[in-house]
Amino acid sequence: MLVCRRWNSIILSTPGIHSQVTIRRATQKEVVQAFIHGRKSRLDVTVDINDEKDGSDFNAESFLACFMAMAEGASRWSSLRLISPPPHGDHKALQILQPLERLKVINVARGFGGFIEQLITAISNSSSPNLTTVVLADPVAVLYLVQPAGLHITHSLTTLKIQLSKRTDVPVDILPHFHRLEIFEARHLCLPFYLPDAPLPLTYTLQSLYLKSVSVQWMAGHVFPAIRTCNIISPHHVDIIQALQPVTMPSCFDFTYHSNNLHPLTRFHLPSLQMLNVKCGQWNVWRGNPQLAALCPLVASEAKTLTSLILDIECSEQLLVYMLSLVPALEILELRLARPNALSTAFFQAFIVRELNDDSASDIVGSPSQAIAPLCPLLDSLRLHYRRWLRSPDNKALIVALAGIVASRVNSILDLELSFDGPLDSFGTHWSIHGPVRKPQNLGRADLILGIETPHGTIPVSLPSVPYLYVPIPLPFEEADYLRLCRSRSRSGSLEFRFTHDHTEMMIAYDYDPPRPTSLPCALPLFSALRVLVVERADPSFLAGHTFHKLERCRVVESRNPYGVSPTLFTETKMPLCTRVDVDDPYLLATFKLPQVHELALNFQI
Amino acid sequence: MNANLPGLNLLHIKDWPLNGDLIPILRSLPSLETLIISTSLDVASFRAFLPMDANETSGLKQTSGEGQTLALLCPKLRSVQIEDQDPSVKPELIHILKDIVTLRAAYGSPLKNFTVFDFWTEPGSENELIERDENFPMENIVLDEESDEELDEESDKEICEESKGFKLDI
Repeated sequence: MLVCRRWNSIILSTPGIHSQVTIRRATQKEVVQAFIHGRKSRLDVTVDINDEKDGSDFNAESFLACFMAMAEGASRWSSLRLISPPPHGDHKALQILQPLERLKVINVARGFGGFIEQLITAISNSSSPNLTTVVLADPVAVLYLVQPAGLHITHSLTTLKIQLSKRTDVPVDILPHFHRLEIFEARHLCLPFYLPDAPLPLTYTLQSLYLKSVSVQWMAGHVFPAIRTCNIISPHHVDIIQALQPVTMPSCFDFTYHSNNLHPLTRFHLPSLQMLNVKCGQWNVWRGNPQLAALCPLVASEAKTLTSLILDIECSEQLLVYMLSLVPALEILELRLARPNALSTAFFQAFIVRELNDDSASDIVGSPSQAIAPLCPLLDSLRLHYRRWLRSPDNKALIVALAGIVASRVNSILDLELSFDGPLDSFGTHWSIHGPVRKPQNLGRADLILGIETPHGTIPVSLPSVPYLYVPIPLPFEEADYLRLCRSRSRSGSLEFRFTHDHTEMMIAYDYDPPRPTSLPCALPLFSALRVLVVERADPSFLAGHTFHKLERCRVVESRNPYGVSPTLFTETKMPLCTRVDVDDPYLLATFKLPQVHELALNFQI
Repeated sequence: MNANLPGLNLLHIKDWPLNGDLIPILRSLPSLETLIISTSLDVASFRAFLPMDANETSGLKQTSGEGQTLALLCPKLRSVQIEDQDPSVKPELIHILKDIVTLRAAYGSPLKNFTVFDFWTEPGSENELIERDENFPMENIVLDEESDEELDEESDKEICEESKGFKLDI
């Protein structure tokens, strides 16, 4: 953005405005000096020496000069983020001579522990420290926080995040020193054993708590009136909570608990609970059932308010049906499962809304009364995540059962999402399962739709967006009846399909991607099974050389390559049974072998 | 165009050039029954529908008694739909359409009408139907959304919501 000189001058001379400055390998002292002296604004300082985009070699002398130049404006520092340290501990000579009287946020990554003393001393020299947020990933820095100099700053903190990669060897007696702490996050922090009557002021001020591999013994018998979100992952000393007084969080609406032992959950009182996320690592149903049973009292007691439940527990269908029957107000249910047969189609049929005279409910789990009144009648989102989905022969039958749930809930809209471990999951995207329709193309915007034909119509399974990067996208079925690819106009790149071991993958390839084999692709079960193929705004080169044995209808439109006809398109594409074709490229049509075509739409604008 | 389409009985032509010659296309489609053209045609382009001799000279240009054997391209053609064409702009179009229907009938053609769609002159689509009889009247039919749906359900063809034009159902 361009501004006039006068406005530029006003901005640079206004102390309240923040300026961001980063020291990297290539940063020059003169540039830093000019930046510091050229403005009166507050400074958000970052030190990031290992920036991969910075190809320069590290120069210790230059780095020291830059930092010292930056330190000349230390009294104006508002935040300091030490992201990656210089090699060989070259930060020990760093000095901060001015008091850090305006510093509000510090973030110290692993490797900066030796610098923490300088930092804390400079903060402590301020008459009234303004420091409110501290993020520490260095164990030395954590230990220094409980030293006398460090304790000077803990009273003002409202946010503390301790993100250690491995557990500290010695207990860090830090909890009694926080009087204003609202957000506390700790990973792999070793805490001492606190007596039940030990004064812990943070219990009154905490609003958000995240503990991973940290002792929860200190929570026993306490009331946390302000906590709204609480995450406890792999807690230590949970037996103390189980044996001692309960933990009460009257305002907590979002609670996460991941542990192999769920019995301590019975000691948590959460009267405002709306969202519950529970994971148990027990590896079979026999061991998982008691854990789910331990969860039931909590779920039952909060049934009126609980609207979102995420469960990752190996358990029996009957017990799970029982537990879900306790929460009729549930709106969001996410089940994280090991494999497609972890829950049978009969289990999912319990979610289907049925008429009283519907005699097809005979195979449903539970009593007939449960079947007529479906599980979770108010559900508007059902998410299923499978750690292993591929290599399963009966996953298509499961999809049919899931589509039946969507179709049965005619008075509400149920989003049914399917995901499984793999590259697609890392992008946070998922497949959506819809009820049977006559025309899947009327679903609306989706990059990819696969369809399974049933007597009631085609069940569409759609992917809202295909990742923009060169990553394999495993398709949920080896075979499908319907395939629609429709990409947004802004994206380019050619499509590839390949059969890897036991499943079909789709990829988008770009010119800068690694070269691919030039030989024709192998026969794909997906292509052999398709009855309808729709390609819109996607490069159709992937069709070349394939035979679509069962294809009846085909549309390839808005797919013309702006750079000319791809050489691969001169390879014949066989569609021996296809009767209806819509293409907008005569060159492409010329490569189609269509002995049975009866209806053709063709665009002649070349 | 793919020349190996002897069994084709429906052809939807999009973005056809105004004065493009339809004869090479129609010659390769002996089984064609329905033709939909989504662009307006020059009047001269319609000569492809007239009976013609082996030299592709249409029956209109031949003097009587020449003894030439005339034949029809696409003898099974039953329906021709032309979209984006306003017949009132080109009165001579009416005459050639009448000639086509009349002359083809003499050769046993099942073609009984041309359906001309004009989507742009008024809000909503307007369908002008030209019947084969002595008076050759034009009938205006205004299509609304409901009639679109009926058409979609009944004929298994799709009227595109955006363009109001024909779209092959896939």
